[in-house]
Amino acid sequence: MPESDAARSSAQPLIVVKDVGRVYNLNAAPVAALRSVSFSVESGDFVAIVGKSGSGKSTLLNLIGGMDKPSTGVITVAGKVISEMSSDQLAAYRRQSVGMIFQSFNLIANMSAWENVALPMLFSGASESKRLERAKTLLDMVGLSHRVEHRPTELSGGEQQRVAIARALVNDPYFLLADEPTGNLDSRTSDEIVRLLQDIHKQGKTVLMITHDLSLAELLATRIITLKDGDIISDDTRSDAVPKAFNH
Amino acid sequence: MSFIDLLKFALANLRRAKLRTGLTILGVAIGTAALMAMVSYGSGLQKTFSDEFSDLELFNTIRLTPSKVDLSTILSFSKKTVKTVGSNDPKKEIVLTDSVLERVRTISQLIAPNAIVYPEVIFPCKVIFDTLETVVMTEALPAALNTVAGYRDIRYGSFFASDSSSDVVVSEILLNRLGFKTPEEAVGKTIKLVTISLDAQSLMNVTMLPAQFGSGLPITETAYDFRIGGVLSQDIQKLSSGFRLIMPIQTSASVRRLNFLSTIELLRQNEQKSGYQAIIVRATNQKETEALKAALEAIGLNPTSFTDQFEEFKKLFLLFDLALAVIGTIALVVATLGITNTMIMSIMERYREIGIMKAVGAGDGDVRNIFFVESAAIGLLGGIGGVVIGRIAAEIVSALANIYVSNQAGVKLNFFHFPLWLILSAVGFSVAVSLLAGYYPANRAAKIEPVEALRYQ
Repeated sequence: MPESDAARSSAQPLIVVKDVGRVYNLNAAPVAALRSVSFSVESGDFVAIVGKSGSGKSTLLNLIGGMDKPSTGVITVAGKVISEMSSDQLAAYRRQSVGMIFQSFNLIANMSAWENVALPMLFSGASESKRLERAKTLLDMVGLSHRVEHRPTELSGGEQQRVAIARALVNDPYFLLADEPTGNLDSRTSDEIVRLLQDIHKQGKTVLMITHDLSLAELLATRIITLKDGDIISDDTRSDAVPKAFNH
Repeated sequence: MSFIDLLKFALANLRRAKLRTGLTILGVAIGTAALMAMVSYGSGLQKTFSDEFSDLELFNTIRLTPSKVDLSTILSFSKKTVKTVGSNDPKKEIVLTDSVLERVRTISQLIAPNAIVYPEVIFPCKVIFDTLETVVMTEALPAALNTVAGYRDIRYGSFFASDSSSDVVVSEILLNRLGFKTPEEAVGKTIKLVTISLDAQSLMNVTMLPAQFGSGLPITETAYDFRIGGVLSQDIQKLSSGFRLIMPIQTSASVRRLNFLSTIELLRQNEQKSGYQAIIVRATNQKETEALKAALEAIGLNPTSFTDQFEEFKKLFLLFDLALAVIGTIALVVATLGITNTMIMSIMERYREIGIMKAVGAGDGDVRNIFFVESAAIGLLGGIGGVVIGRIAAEIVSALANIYVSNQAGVKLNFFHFPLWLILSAVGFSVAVSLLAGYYPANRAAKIEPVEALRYQ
């Protein structure tokens, strides 16, 4: 379990991205998906990374999420340089420090809602009783206490995304990394998910959200970083963003 | 990931593709069954011999022969199967006369007072009852053997009480050939034994006037009446072809016959030798047997114990078992290639799922272990299934083979033997080979990059 946000915030930013670049060698011709990108994220922020398709936002998500390594530069999360971690260290980082939320939910079809939620705990070696207890708590939190044993195919899109959010929170990570979390949902269901993310942020969780939807970013984020062709073209802090949105 | 979770996870994954998993397990089961059946056949034969030898106390038996029998040469199928060695002269052959027999008796009395010493006398004869007749090998044995296993507990009736009795003991299958339905029906009945021997007058005519040879062999037939006193036990019948007749040794001396040795001697006229083809010593325990064997060797005789023969048999069995095991192993290895195929197919189908697991924190080792346990589970289930199939198949083959054996020898044999070590080894080997088969797919799954897998639709 990560150290407390309060203890860490006094020392340094939660996430530091410094001069990070990522070059893919496609058919022997190098393509720079990210050029020297630098920014930092404080604990408790809700940062939206926006940009058009091909701007490099997904590449940045993969790098911060520990699923890919930068070609240049350094990424530090909670004081640890993840860009230099081994494969096993990265797996532990993804399990303990990051909560990933995907556009297409990425739930495992043959597992029940609670088993999907508890999947990261399975790889931590937690007992079944602990996993079930934790999963039930989180499913209750996302409003799915009646869907514990249901499989993803028996759930609506919104419900699946809520299961995915519960899974992202299961190991109480440092931050959530959401990739177009409402991209596959209709507007009413999107609103539900937006409210949920907002609630989670209000409870103190740091959130990094990748989206091409600027209005969604303006609605939720306290800071918006805009990418274009692999470079940051703007970085706006919006301290009043949260109070404006969804005052429910 | 704990082992229990790993196991549950792997079994749940295998259940997802029931037909494919089932067929793969069946393939491994058939391979394991082939391996089990092959090895258990070799083991069964060895156990049958060992048990029979042991039950009949044959490990306490010494056989003295005129020349030294080199078992290793015989059993290695060399062209030179028998060589003659004596105490000093390697080519010297010892004629087993009555004086040698007496000497052996004297030595036996000193070392093993209860040992039974007798010459080996076997000759063919025709047996007739009513209108039925058959040819049988007749063996002359001392009445004292009625205390030895196999003769002590004969099937029905009794072993002859004296060496000069006019009773004979017969095998059950011989009775059937003579038309008796049950042993009870046969005991007490008189049968006729017809032996062949050289006719002195005809032999002289042939020698003096070779031209008369064309009129027929110088052989005469002699008939004797004997009473069936008992029927042999199943155990003793297993060791012979089934057609067996035993008569008292002293009685046999008055029966005119040509035994095998005298027939061979007729062919070896130049050597001018006469004597028993072998002398048998039956001690009461293995310690006595070993001591007696050493003493008889020390005086220049050629003793061979059943233990020696069995040791040589065991070497042969080992080669036989190895050959069978290799055939079985090939079957199992071919079957386990199915596991590799199943695992690779499974990885392709679960490519995205592996990506999800890695994205939420599964390490390379976790993914590798999942596929390893799936392979091992297939191997374990296939191995257990193989043991069951192998056992059932062996029972069926054994039952069918025993129909033939029973008709020919009047007894039933255990062709297959399934000791615990064989069952555990078969299952263990199946799991080990399955793990080997799962090695490549498991490593391939472990190396899947999550980013790449999550893009996969």
